Amino acid sequence: MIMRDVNYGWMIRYIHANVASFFFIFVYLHIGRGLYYGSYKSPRAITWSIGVIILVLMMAIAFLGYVLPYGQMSLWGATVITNMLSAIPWIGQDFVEFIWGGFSVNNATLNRFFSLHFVLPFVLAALAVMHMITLHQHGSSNPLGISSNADKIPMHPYYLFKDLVTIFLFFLLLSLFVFYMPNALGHSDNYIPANPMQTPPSIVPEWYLLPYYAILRSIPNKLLGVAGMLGSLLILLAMPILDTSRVRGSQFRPLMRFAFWAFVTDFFLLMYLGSQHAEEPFITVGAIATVFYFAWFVVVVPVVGIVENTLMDIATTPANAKESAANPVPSQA
Amino acid sequence: MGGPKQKGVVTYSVSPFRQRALKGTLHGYIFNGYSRAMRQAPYMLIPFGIGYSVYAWAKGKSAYYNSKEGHHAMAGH
Repeated sequence: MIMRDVNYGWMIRYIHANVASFFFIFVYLHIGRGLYYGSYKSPRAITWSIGVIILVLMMAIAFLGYVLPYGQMSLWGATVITNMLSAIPWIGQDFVEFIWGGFSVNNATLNRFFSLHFVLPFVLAALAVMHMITLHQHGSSNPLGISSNADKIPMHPYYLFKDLVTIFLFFLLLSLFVFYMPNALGHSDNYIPANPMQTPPSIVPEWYLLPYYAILRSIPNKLLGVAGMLGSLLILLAMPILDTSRVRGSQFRPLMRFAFWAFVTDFFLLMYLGSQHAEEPFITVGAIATVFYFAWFVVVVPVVGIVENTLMDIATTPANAKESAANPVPSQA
Repeated sequence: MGGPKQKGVVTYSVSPFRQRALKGTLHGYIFNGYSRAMRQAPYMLIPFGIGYSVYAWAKGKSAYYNSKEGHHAMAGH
């Protein structure tokens, strides 16, 4: 209907779908920047925590919206994702049927998903405001990782107008997608109307959910798989504790820089694996990539922090400092 | 106009910095951006290289498993 019978309806729909993808591109870049520059560290841990909740809610809203066109991928994606709730011990199956409003994804499900897809963005907007309020308590961090209390400028007009430049550049890029390749980021199977009697050859979520989908599929046990997928997002909450480094950010920490890009690589690898069939060799590679994803948070980040702290301590102990004073560099001799 | 000389008249104009608010921005974006990216390259290229080789290996292995040779080789399993 909206694609053919409403004037410029196709544009409204393509803008809606592509802006959702771009929202995730920007949020992933924003999270990557936060991880690289240590923005999660005290005193901005609360800003970071609200940010993680925003990410989880965004994914829920995006998923709810993806179900609404009711194509094959909508129906079967909804079936897979809602069935995850059946992994909850004891009440699982009853709970899923309560969410569905029936015995499978049906009209009632679609109706309530539509309501939630409309209402939850207001919650998201409120969380975004809270994200800003808590940020402005201490001000933004900076790439040097030092306090900027001595030199601050107001949000308006400086940041608003600076960001406007990026927003206009974004409109340019968005237009390229909307007008020239509106379906590049979506799966073609969603143009097949939903058919409960036929499963598609593969069930693939939108690109921004692929890494988490890969983690879900890498764990054979249903409950542990769901826990792993949720945990892969919520583990971000632990970053303020897991980062043992005394220096904020990776700018002056070569080992952490290397570790950061290893994590980015692993994220892209999981994204690719999520789009493939669940068969060898993707199962094995997916399992290793999932282990590395969690190990990065639990092992790599704390250990790299301790190693770099220790190297700094060795270099600045009085004994070593005395030695370097006794043997000054040739230019000073 | 023959009257007393006016004093204390303040005339404002747009600051010369304001008139070219984006002076050098594009140059800085391209050249400073390039040099910053290149300084990051040693830390980036090794993980990306490993990631790409894993991706290429998995893709090749998958193609082999789905080929006639692969089916023959896996027939006994």
